[in-house]
Amino acid sequence: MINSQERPLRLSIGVIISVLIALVMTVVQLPDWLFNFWPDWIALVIIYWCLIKPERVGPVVAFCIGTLLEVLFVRSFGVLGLGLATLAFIVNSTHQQIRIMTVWQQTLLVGLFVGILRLITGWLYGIVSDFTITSEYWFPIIGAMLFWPFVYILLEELRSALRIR
Amino acid sequence: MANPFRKRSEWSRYGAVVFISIVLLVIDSTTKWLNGPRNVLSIVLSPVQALASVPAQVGRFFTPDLTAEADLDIAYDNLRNEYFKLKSETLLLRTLEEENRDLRALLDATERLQEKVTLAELQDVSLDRDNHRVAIGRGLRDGVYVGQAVIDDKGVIGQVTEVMPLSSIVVLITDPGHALPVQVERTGLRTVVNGMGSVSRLRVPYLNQNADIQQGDVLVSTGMGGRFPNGYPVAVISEIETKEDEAFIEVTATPIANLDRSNNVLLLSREAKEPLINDSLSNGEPSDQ
Repeated sequence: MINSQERPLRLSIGVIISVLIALVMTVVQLPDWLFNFWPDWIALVIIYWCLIKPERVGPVVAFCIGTLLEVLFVRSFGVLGLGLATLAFIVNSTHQQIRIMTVWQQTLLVGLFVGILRLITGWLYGIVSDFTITSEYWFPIIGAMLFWPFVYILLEELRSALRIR
Repeated sequence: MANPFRKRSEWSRYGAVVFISIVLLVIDSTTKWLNGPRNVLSIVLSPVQALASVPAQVGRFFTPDLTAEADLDIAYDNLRNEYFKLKSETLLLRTLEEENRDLRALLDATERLQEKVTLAELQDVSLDRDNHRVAIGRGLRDGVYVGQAVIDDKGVIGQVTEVMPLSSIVVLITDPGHALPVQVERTGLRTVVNGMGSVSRLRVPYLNQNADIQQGDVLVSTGMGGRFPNGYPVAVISEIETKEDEAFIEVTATPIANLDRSNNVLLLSREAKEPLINDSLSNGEPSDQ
């Protein structure tokens, strides 16, 4: 009884901690060549939570995180929210299939998902501001695929440390 | 769990979120109504921003302590030399300025606007890969306004695009959406530099095949856009590529300012209506009245 009441709190603590870490990783200063491949950490974190807790973390949470990011990064409102919500929705509706995949298959799918996210946000930024998609715009997909196994393992650690089931 | 109701509620939640996003998007791109809520939220979120910049600040806190004394000596000597050199140049500058004013008076030209300089510190949320923007620690409270030019000790950095109560956002000259009217110092040729999304490269478009330009030419700002005061160094021509059958040559330039390295920047204000606060310095001679 007590446990079932505690769980949402623990889950939100886990989500907040991981989002904060992802935020720090996003804004960390890097050399130019590495920066081009720097993945969207927030997207990876959202993919993870939508995969593990699809009944709690979904489009609404992703939209809220995206909107907060837009405030922090001073981007036009709604774009990241829409992109991340779509990402969360896709992951939510396919979580049963993705969970039983091997890490390598997951990695390919994560690349696809991040690609979809970047496509949506790129299009929308192109509509609301003068932004053009260059070839470098797609490099972070590779970074996201490379980092996904590590992100997955670290977040599993975090989850077991917070005893979120 | 193939529960049709659950599926439907998922769809409806997603649909609601998409709808809200699109409404936000349209409102934000057509009106300025959302700036108020954004400012409020940004103040609420400023602890997060501070938290995010902790690693970089920790690094910066320890680096001075860890540098060797010999290095510090060299740095000190360099600074000292530079100080005396600049000092002597300033002496010369005063006479030149006087002379310039007299000449301008002779020519009946308008007095050059006096510029006030405000020092601002970079808050290191180095925002985005696709938007080259930085946040600085001066905002509405310090009289920062949209369109204000931002320079460092070497050259032009960018301009203020968004002013929040405690901080503001500067778009760098390397932002893909930024263009700046410049002049080649050697020949006086006027042109434009565009950002191209790389911190070390700028594009100089629309130069004819026979344009008089060569590697190493310095581009300085012209006062033309009405944003930047004239005469500040912007970039050095680094590469000229001529293509047969093309109307224009491809010219690339390297920014002079330390866009990705400087921690302190200077805000130039044109009219300086607001009284400037404590650690602002005033540039230029007090006019004789």
